[in-house]
Amino acid sequence: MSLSEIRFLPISRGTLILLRQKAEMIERGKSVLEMRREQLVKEIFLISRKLKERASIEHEYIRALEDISRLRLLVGEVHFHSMVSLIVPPKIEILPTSIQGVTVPQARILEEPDLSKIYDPEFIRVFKRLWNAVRALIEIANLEVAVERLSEHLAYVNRIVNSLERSIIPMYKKYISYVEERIEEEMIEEFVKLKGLNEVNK
Amino acid sequence: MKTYLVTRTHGLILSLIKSEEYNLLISGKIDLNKLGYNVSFEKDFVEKIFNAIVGKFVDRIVFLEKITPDYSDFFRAFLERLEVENIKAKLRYLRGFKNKEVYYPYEYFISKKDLMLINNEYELLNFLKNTPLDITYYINKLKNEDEKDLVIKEILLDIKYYEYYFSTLKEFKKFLFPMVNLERIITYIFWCTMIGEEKISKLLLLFNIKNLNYAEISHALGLSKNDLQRHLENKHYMRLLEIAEDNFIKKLKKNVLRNKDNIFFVYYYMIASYYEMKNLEKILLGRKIGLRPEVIRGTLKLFI
Repeated sequence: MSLSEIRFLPISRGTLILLRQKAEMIERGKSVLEMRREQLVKEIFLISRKLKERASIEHEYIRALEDISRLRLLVGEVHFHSMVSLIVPPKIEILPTSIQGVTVPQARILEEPDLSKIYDPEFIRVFKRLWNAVRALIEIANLEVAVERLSEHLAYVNRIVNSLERSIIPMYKKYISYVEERIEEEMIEEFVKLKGLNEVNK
Repeated sequence: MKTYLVTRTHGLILSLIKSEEYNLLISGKIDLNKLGYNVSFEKDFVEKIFNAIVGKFVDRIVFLEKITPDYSDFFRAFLERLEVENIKAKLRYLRGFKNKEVYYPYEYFISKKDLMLINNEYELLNFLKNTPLDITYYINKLKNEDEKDLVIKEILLDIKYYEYYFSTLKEFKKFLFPMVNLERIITYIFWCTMIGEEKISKLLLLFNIKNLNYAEISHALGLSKNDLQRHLENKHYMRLLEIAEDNFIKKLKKNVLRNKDNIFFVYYYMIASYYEMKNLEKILLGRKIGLRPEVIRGTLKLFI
């Protein structure tokens, strides 16, 4: 039943009971949403704490890139390019996962890069270092996406709670009191009518 | 003819890039086209610049060959290091993840077009059969497990290359042998860190080459035996190669003072040109990657 339809309901005790039931259900829904909001906030805070590691991981990533660049300079483009071709790149898949009931796309590493064909220890060292940094960055990116999606969902829940709190519940309350007043007026009117009739009959 | 070659080289060496010019290049205050190259770091693509840098080096050596066709073998053997690098790169591409292939723009025994069309190792080794870089005989002598090893094939190519390079020295042997031998030792040091001294010795034996021992290597590098052992065990070949190259350049500079009127000076010019090519490649890549100037400068080998 939409809000506009309420206005066309007949003023009766039945309507009052119906409206009270509805208002109670909305209140219950609001408290459930508030609980969900708290859960989401807790989850976001929990994930956000892990995001602090981003700076150190980025630092490690930059240092790994610097190592690779230096190696590239030292061995020359032809050697470097052909050595890199020996690396089998990693396989990464994006899978939708559920966090607190919210669908979040998460990158999952299906296969690590294969460095087995590389015989040069210096190449193996720098590329292992780079992969460790990239893997940590993927984890951080997953958390960031999770925070983003959870925040979006939190904003949505917040909007609903606010609208229930500030618009729908007060409107119901107002209408219930209006219906109550009208029923009371009708009761008094009935009473006065009955009293008048009794006096005429006497 | 020999005198003319040496005299010409004295003039040619003046056209090489000097250390202060490298500094200006790294900081971007001067462009490559102001230093005798037909390309610009600012305007041209990396591949075009790379080809121009290597092309200039090749032209310089080919010019020496034109002056003295009698020494053609020696000059071509010197340039052959680029083709050996191309062949080694092809071996890696054949085993690796399919990617764009990058080669030095130099071809003598095997054209770049043919190299790119080759689809397997067998074809590549067959191509080399008619060149001084033929390693099929040595591969057949190897045990099965080694035969398949990429690193072993690359080492065999290097050993074969130095055998070919040494064969072209002929009458220059008394002037150039110690330095060319040092070049070879530097290459073997690299392979020693990869597969160990024992395996290298076995491979050298296939060519009837006397094994290099630690004493010889440490003497050639000016390092103590313990330091050399430590570097080899830690597989810190980059540091070791840096020491080796610095020592090589130091010896070259020292010897050239006594040999300004013979083929040694020409060899000095050739090595200086080679390092100019390497330095410019480093500056090009360093600038492209966005490395700090001091990092780029730290990797250069300066002659003049």
